[in-house]
Amino acid sequence: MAREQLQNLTEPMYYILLTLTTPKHGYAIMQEVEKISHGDVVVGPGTLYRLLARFVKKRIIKQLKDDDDRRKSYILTDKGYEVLRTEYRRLKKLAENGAEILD
Amino acid sequence: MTNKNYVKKFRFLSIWQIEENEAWFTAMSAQGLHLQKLGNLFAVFHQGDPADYQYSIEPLLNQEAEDQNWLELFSDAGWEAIVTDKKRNLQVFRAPNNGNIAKIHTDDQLYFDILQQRKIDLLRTMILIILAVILYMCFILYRNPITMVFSGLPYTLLIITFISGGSILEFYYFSKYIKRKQTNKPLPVNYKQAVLIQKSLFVMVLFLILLFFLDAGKMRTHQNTTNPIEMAPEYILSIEDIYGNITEDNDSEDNGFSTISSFSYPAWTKYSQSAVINNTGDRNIVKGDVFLASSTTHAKLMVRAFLHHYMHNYPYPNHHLPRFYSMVDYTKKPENKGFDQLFMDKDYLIRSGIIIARKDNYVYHIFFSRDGQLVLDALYKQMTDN
Repeated sequence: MAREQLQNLTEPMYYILLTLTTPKHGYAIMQEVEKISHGDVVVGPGTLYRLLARFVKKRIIKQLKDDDDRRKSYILTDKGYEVLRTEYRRLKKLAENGAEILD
Repeated sequence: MTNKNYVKKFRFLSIWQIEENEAWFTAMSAQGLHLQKLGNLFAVFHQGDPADYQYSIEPLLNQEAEDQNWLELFSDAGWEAIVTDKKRNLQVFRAPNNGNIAKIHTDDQLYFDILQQRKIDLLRTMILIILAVILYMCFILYRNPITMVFSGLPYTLLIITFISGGSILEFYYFSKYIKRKQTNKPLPVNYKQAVLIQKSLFVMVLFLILLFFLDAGKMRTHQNTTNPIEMAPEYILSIEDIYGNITEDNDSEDNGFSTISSFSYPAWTKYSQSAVINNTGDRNIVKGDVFLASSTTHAKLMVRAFLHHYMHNYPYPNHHLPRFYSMVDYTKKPENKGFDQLFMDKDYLIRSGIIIARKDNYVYHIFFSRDGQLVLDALYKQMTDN
């Protein structure tokens, strides 16, 4: 279902979902994406906001209830994990298939 | 702006000039002028030290406009919110131009989605405005042809130009702007020409407004410098005048109508907003109304049109009694003390309105701006005197 809706995830989408295995607010996501991609992927605030809104709408992530911090935090939903794992398996398969020929 | 630390600059700030204005703000900051506020046609800058800033004008969608988190996300990322332009739904951000600040949009397609959404909003607004103008015209023509006949075409054109012209232009250039961004071509919109068109439209509207006020001033002067007692006829029109043919032959100089030519209202100008009531407390002199028209024929046509409205026993073509006028037939009510027909504003005791009274062949058509009872009393007095 989710795969039909989002097709393949773009690189920024993939990294954003990876960061959201633990709860994070907007700016923390931006920093974490840059960190785990070793600086290869940078997400601007405008882009991040649109993507988060889209993910929430498709119920891939959800907003956590407000606590003391005023900033909204997000975390993956079960559906989000499913989307992320499917994407991971797809990418892994692609890499393995490539390795059979190239390595 | 009385404070000398602030500088006001004239500038069009349309949504399709995002890049040009961002570059302009950056250039101004380099001169020490930092954006402070956006008005309709002006940008206000604060005079400070020159600094190297990059500016970003973000088109707002409803979602962002209502979300405090949106602004916080930007400020966390190093983009300082400078101005929220609620009228144009734009948010201006600023950041030091030192290469450490992340670009706002790292995904072009997502950014185009925002622009596309704004384009749809503009299209919707444009269609709504054009529909409203068309509906308004239809309504006027259907309910009240008289208004259309006697209100000036230039004035109507002015309103339509002002309301719909700008929004069509905005939509056209924004569509071009989006195409230019998508194809990544440098300036296929001739920016200077577009701004010139926008400026011309603005100047034209200003010019029309100026003409309109000059015209109003001329009419006002004419009213003030003409003796109302001499101008006003003892009666406005006879029954024959009302129901018979009004021909140009009736147009003579000495029938009591004061005439004046007008730009905004080619058919008629204005009729005085006061029944002639003397200020000495005598409360007696009610002579009728004062009409200023481009010709006496037009003045008579106008009076006739109004009378057709209120005496509604005459089948005027395509005409329906307009609902928004609150004229009431008082002929058979105790307020009427001897007129053959009497129509008055429902609230004639408390606010300005119109009294139409007929006795035999003479029709009084009084527009009063103060006290209806005063006018009515004076009319009775005059009727019994005669």
